[in-house]
Amino acid sequence: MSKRILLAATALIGAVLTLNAQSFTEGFFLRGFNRAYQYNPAIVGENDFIGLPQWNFQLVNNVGAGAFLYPAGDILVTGLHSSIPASTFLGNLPENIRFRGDVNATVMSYGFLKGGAFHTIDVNVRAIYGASLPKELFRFLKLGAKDGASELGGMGLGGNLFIELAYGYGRKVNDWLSLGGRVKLLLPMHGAQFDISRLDLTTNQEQLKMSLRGDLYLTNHTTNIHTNDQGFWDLSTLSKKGTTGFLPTGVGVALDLGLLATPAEGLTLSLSVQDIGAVFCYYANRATMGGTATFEGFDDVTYEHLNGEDMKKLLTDTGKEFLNLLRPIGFYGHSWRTQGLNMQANLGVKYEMPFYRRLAVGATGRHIAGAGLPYWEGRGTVEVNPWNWLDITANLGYGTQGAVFGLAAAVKFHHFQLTAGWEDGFGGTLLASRTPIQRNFRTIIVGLTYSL
Amino acid sequence: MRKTFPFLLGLLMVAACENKTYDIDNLSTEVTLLEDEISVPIGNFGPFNLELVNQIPLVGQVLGSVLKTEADGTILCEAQEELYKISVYEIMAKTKEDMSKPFSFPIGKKYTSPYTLGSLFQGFGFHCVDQHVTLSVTNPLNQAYTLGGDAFVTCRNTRIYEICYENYFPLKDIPVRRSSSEVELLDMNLPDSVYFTPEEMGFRDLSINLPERPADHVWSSWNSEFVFSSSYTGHIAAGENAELPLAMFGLTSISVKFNLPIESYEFKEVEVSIELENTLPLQVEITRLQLMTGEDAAVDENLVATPGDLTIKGGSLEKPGQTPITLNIKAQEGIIPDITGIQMGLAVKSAPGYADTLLSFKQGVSVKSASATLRGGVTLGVSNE
Repeated sequence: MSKRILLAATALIGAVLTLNAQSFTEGFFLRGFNRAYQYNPAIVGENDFIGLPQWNFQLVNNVGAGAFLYPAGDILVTGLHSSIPASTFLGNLPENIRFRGDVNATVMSYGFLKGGAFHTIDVNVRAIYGASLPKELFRFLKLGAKDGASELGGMGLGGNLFIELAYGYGRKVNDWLSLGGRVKLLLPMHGAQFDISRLDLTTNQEQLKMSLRGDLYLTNHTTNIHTNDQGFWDLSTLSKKGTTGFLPTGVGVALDLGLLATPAEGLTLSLSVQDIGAVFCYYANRATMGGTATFEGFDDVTYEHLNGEDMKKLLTDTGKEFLNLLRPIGFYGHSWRTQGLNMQANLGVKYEMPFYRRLAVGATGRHIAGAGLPYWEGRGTVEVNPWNWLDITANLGYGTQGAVFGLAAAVKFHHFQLTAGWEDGFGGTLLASRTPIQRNFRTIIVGLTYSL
Repeated sequence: MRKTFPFLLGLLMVAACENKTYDIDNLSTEVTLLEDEISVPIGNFGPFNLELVNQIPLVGQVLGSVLKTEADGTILCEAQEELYKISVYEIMAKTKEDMSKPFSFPIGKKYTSPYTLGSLFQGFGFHCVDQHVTLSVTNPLNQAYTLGGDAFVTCRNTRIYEICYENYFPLKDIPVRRSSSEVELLDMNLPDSVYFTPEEMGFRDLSINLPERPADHVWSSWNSEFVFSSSYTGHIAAGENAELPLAMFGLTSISVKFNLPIESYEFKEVEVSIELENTLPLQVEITRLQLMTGEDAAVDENLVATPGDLTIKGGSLEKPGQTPITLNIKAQEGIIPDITGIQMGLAVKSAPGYADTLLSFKQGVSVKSASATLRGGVTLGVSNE
């Protein structure tokens, strides 16, 4: 293992993925934000627009790099360093360490007013990834097996690439109420999932035993990975040519619903629910891993074995028996998996100051129903529109990952609208990698539209 | 507005600033795993039996030259020797007797001192047991003859240098059959109470009583000799007071070299539990146990092995002696490097209760149910590349 791997691990730990729609709450406050419908489809745009590329990164982690890295004088050590007490290291870890990330690139979006409604069309490319590790794994690494036995199962790692085609419809029902919805067609393109559902270790004077159960899913459009005579995957059959086409490997549908109300002058209430739906992914290649390997000591080691090479070979052969548990065994057959979408509910209220309409205050609430890593938050917001071409909003709040804040700005020049926003937590980041030191919820969005 | 921007900027700096305390460039990637304790089985080793003794310098060379075994592995002490031979024609040339009638040809005393492993070990207190002596003669004539004199066997207690056994067996009444390749003149087991190999065994006042003109009675011209032979066999038992004189061979401290490549795991303390099974009727007293490291296999004072003194019980193939041992190896500073050998003081003595157990090549020591317990963790220093 090298520093680079360690850095990548901490970056991954600091990365959070939520499989959720773009939840840029600041978009609710930015005036004339062309893509506000992505927050609440009931927000009817003021003009037609063409959306140029927008990038949206969202990360959620329930543990930060600070749980794994500790300052020790002039150096930085890991929690597995001998100077860090086990109670300190393990006390900073949740029972299940989880992180999810969502990278979304809006390739094209188009919004137009017609027939009293605001229609939107988006083409997005989304990549999601995530991982889950049990705290027990780190307890074992730090202290060893408790009473000779450890259950380390429940870890997973995976990622998917989607194309999202979305159509939105928003309409003012009357002077004070708007309703809207978006239908999203999700087309998974590539994906991989690796789960270890069971990993039991027994270490005592009589035996060293490992029982493992794992599954590996890999999409591969045109060529299946073949197996060798023993049934193990032969990765040499995964050739570079023609193994991954450009066809969907599944289908999914998601629905956004929204309601926007202006019951009084300057007061706006927003309620939206996003990502009601699911995605069905087809994995052309599936493998299982598992079994039990037991070592009860070497048998019949003679005097001649007691030299370096023979003993090394005995140790190597024993190690191979355990490593073979991780060799993927090909599983033939259709493998469909349902990828759940993390439904998100947003609540917002905004009030323009009667004495200065260009200043508004408000609050937002958000809940993301993520399996294993649900998220909620509440924020207090202030927004100011000092000039027609500039709009700035800032918020401060608290959520399941601690204190959070957000900043966003929209700049208009000619017909272009440049929007940038940033939601983050406190605690700082690692140098260079920007990995959060504390548990965190982070969103970064940058986009450009052209108003027609 | 004038206050808004500074506030936002301050928020930005507080929240998103890089924390210089967490400088990855100063990251120490040293990790210590499994800090509490972890136990793993090692397995069974051996048996390391007496055949390995041949690999010990000097001692092995001496033993290898005399070591023989029965079919079941029991060490066999055996010596066969031709004591005396003379042909009919030589007798006829040497005798001064009138060969026209029967005559007697005097030979005198012919004997041997059989030297076997038992002869060597008896000096260390081991017992020579199941001792069997055979004296024989051949008859090249086509008629029987008789002998004069006695067959004899004497044994001496080499510890107190006194004769412990002496017996004479007259030969006059033993006819030597005609044309016999071998006639046993004496075939006996030494008494069980005699633990020493024969100092002398053979014939005294030996004479051959021949017929007239013995040349006329030679069965075959190419076989005209009288051959007197001896044969000795015996086994070795531990006895009650045996002790290998390792000091004599400079072996009060022996070194056994091997290679145990464990340095890469950076252990600080290892406890090894083993069950030693010993089928030798000897108990082994180990003192000043020390570990050797390095390519030159030198004693490493930094490594402490406890206990430094221990006794391995003796046993037999039917009833092995079991000795549980828990050996703790600890590096006083740093880590335990590759272990390239073990050095110890050694004393090998008779095991109580196994005095009558015969020594066998199949006897030896086995390590059963070995396991290791690691404490203090395994420290790995990860590469900074």
